[in-house]
Amino acid sequence: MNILGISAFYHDSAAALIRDGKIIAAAQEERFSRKKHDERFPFHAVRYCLHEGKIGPDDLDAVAFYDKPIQKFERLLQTYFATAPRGLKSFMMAMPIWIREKLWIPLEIENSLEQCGVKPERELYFPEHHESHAASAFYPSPYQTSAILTVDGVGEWATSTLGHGQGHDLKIISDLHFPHSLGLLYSAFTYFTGFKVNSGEYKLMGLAPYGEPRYVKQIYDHLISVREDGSFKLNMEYFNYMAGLTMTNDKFGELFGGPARKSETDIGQREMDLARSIQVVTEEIVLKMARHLHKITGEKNLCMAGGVALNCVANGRLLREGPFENVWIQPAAGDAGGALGAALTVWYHVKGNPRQANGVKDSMQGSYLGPNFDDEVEAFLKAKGYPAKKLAGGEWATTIAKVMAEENVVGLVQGRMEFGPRALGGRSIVGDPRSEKMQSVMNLKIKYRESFRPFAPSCCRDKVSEYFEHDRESPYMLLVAPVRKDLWTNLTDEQKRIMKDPDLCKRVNVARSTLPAITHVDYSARIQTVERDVNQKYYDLIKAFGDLTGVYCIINTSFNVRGEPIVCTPEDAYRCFMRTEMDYLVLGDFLLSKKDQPEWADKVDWRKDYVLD
Amino acid sequence: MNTWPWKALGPALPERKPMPMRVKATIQAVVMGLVGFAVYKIWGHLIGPAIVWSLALLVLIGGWLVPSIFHGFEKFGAKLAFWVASGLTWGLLVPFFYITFTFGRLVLVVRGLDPMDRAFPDAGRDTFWTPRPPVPSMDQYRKQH
Ligand SMILES: [Fe+2]
Repeated sequence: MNILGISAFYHDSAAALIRDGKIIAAAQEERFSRKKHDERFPFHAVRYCLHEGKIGPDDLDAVAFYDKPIQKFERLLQTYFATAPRGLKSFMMAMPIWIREKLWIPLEIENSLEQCGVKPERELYFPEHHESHAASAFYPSPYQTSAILTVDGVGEWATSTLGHGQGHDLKIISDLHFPHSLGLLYSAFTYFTGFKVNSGEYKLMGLAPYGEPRYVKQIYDHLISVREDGSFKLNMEYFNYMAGLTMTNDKFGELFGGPARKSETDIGQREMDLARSIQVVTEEIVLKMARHLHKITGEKNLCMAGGVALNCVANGRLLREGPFENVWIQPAAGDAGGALGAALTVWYHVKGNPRQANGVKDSMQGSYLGPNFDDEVEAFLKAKGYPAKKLAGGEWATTIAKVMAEENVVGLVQGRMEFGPRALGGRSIVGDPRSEKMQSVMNLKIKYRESFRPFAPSCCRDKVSEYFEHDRESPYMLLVAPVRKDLWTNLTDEQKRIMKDPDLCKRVNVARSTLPAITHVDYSARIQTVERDVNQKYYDLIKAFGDLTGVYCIINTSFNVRGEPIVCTPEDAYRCFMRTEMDYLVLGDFLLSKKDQPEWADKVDWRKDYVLD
Repeated sequence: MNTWPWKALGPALPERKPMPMRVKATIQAVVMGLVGFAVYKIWGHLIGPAIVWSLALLVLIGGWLVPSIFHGFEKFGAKLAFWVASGLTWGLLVPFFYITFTFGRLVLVVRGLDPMDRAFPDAGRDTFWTPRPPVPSMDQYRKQH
């Protein structure tokens, strides 16, 4: 039985295809449309999934959409009833889109299936938003039974849910309702500190280690009322997201000593302290929720999804201090993953098909669920006339490792594209973590940004505890753990002085460990562990780098420039390679050196192609 | 060269061939002519219809002989359509918003109800978790609500 899952119309639309419960393909629309966080109906992603599954006109059995649009619409109307006569602007912005698109989802699905050559008369399902998140967390997890926690901005009404998965059965036990939302609280601080809502949350988390938790008491005293079981209510007198176009109001500004920071202006101590404070509050609430969930389910395993589950600092703390022995987080924890969850809900929960987890490995296949172009690279290079060297067998890993060890920056496109927001070695830019200059080179010459966040390390699974206070899997870069103390360096007086510099980019460039490019100012790192049976080529590359240098870790950052979606095709990759100061590009089995390439002339100012995130 | 097969899968998106300019201009001129005629027949005035007929003639000449004139009319028409559509949207939705939601809000306030449960800090409650009733039947998954 083939089931297509779709998520759309909020942010990060996506499609996923499962066959008899096995995940065949999943991808986000942004990778094909080249519009970051593309929220439009995921026509290209649907098209890709059907192609990957070789779905003929009669082969698709069901389509599952990741939420209940009418319930969402009802919540919207109820919100206006609760806030009128305020809310006109928001109403005028929302209504035309609802009337034009969001109320006609079955028609959109039929149209796109028809265009893909598939007969559109399929069973249509609409699981609830958080049920889709919960399903995306539990069904692919390695656990036969598990507690399930979902936390995000908002679905229909729910903003967090506690659930229990047993075999093929998934039950949502209880939930918190809009407008009381941990995701929206975090987004309110994201907005107030001058970052973009729905994409800047990651930056806020990265900013937190620079600050002090000075505002925690104020947050608890004025903004949120939390119970011991992790449930909470927000004081809506301080927020504007119900009726307005901003997340916070003037009263919120008064509480924190002035208006919100304007985007792209200097980040001050207040913003750093706010970042740290909301991070602390978020972690405490997630921990309380987890303890309560542990108590009511008695499970030793926890599965998580929803946008807040991408907060890898909170996840790391949950793993270290929480009550669960094992924690598994869906790599596409945001709304994109809802497409997968919706399809899995139909197969397991609605159709009642049996499920047997093996207790060790999840069924996400490393999240490498997108298109693979390795077999077409040669034809592409020939057609375009781009000089490249074919690397055969073991030479592939050793040659790339060698150029990396010479402080070159390498773009890596091999195997299937990742599903979810992180690049995991399929569409990555990689480099030498020992290099002191790599951090600023990658930031300024490749990503075209100045970042106060360090890069993340990819590390051989069997070597991870040699570098980090961490001895488990973290295949999806969703856990943060401390760098081992014996790798820390003693800071010189000059370095200590720089660590107080108001320019955060200078601070992050201070070498705090023997792996400076991946060590944050609080000596933490966002780890990806790589296993050979999941991504053989990527593992071999890291191992070859380790055999050469003694360090079985490399820098891994997403293959894109600021504001651009991660590259999908070799064509996207070559364009990004030539527009930036990357030194080498790997396309499947081929290595391209920048020096050998024909001159690249951009006719347009390509930086204007992408809206800064 | 089509290198990436997912792009080639299935029939290509239906390509809409634009209507030839001359056909478009003729149709538009005829429609305008008929509108002018209807106005003349109903109200008996000649000035308004004469203006419409003159414009129709210009559209026809533009479409057949001077494309720049026709394109100018097209641009103006598109802008006019946008403003009319926006005007209608605002004209309908704004009164709807204020009448429906403000009245609804008043009813909620009078009855002491808050669908958003905003009482804060709501000290009397031990928990804010709401138990989720079991899904009544699998048919529920077929519904959008
Ligand atoms: Fe969500």
